[in-house]
Amino acid sequence: MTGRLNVALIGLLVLFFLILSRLFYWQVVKAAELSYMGKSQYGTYLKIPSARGEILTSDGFPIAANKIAYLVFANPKEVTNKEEFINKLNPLLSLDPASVSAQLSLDRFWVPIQDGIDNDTKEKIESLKIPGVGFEEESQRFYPEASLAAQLVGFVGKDQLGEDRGYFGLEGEYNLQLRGKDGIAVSIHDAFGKPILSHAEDTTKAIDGRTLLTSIDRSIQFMVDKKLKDGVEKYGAASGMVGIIDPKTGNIIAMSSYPNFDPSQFQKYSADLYKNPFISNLYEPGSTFKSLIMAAALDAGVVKPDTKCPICEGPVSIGGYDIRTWDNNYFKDTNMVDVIQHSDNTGMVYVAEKLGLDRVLSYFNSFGIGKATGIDLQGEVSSYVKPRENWYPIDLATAGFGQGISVTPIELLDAFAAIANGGKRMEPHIVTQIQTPEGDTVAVMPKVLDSPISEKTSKVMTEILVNAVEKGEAKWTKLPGYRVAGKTGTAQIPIAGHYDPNKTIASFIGFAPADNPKFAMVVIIDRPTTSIYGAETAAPIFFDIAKDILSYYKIPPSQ
Amino acid sequence: MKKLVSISVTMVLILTLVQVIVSNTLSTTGVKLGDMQDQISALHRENMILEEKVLKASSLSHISSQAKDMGFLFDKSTVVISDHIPLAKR
Repeated sequence: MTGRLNVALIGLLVLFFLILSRLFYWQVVKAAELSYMGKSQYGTYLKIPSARGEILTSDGFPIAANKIAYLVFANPKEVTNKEEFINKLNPLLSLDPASVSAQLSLDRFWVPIQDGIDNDTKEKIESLKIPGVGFEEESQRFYPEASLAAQLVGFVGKDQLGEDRGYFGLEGEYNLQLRGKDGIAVSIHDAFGKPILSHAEDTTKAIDGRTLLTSIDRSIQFMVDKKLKDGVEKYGAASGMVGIIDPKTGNIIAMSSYPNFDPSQFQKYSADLYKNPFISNLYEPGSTFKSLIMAAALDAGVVKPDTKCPICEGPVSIGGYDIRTWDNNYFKDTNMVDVIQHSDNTGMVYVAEKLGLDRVLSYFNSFGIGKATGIDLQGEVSSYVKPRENWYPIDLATAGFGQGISVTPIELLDAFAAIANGGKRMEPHIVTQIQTPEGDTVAVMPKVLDSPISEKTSKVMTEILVNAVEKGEAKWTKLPGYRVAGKTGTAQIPIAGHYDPNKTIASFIGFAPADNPKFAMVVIIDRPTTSIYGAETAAPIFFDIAKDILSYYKIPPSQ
Repeated sequence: MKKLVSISVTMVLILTLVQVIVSNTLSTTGVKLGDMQDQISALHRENMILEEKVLKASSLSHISSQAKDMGFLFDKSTVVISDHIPLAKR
């Protein structure tokens, strides 16, 4: 009897356990799903789109914001006269009549006509009272300054799921911060379709994206964009770029490339224009690189400003190659100041050899050559420095005057800016502050990456570069009264294993005022046709921009 | 005991009456809520449209082209007044 009772008891316990397990499954494991199913029977789930964060220039002006746009659609069932429909819309929307006619012939209730129209156009269409036309409101990225700093800002396109996503530049790099998080609203209605108050709070709030405050100076950027465009056109060049950095903080003041594109209509441009060549393109820097090699040699103590070059009386022969100066003029016993002033290739071969391969590679490392700078933009590439065992004597010699080695413009500018900053190399940055929708701010602090040269060396090198501006090839275009440190560059372009003598990348790099630098800048002009030399193309653009920046910063001439 | 029952019945009647009144009031606030939400959306839309107009009008590209159309020219001369100019000379 007791045994049968125990069996019954165990049976009941098992049943209770099964019931409890099932209850746990429905009430805990499946609770959220069932709740959703329940609510969906008497309410509607709506997505509340979050607002994408803005991108501001240093004066707080949005160069990337949001605006309301409309999708124009049609109901083909209500369109009785297709020709009249198209003729009425065409002056406002510039439609492709054949394509719209085909859309209207479909057996559907909804066909898209055109995306992204503004409010004014929408109101004009509404006033025409065309049967079968409707509008869907949507949020669209808006760039008030159009193509200003286009490659730096990037653009917003769609991802595979049809969601907004930032590509290239700041839009791409900071996409996660900018995009925010969409919210969900449960709209519960009464019999007449009106929302019921007691359930209004039943929502997950949308979290708007964060806003980025950048170091880009809108006035300087605007001026640089214009002068670069004018310069590229004037010198018949294929393209051009300019980068300006504050050497003390690493903040990018302006970054411009031409040709560029309008981010709000990026589809209309070639995809080749999307990437920012200032951070994504490698080029042989030519003579602008001499300033880094000379600074390294002075810092290592292997040469002094008055050291005489014993091999500069004629072409230098290394490994079967003759290395000549750019104008085939040679200066016997020239000193290091004059080597930079004359942009003397033979003198730089002497300097590179005195420095030696090990020290050259060590200084490359501390100047950041061969490494990505870490700039906060999507698409930065780093240059490649060969392993030590693959270097031949000719490689060391040509590296001395910036050939046979590739860098990105940002890499060169950041390394050069170390000379202007007492020998300290800063991490280049564009975003200086991230602002949350709640009003909190996160500041991005300047970061020292390395100290490739001493402060003393930086001062000596600055004087050598000031002398190069005052007496060098570009002296005809210098700014009277201002002490500017700088160096020209004319690099030949390697094509199919040899250098094309008629195709060059002309450049000028410098900083001002030399005694208390407020900016360092590099101007690069790709394949100019009016003159192949940096002193006659990039240098005038550099000084034209520098003049306006010094005036804008209210810095008077010192001499 | 009788008193307790009468109080309870009275309370139930009062609470029922209150619920009827509250339910009646709330049933119409849904309409008001809908109107308010429509107003918020309309104001938000108008705000964004105005903001877009302000940004377009205050962009440097717009100001620059307007200035050009109005005949303004870029002044390339810079006048620097040195702070070392003496007040009086002999």
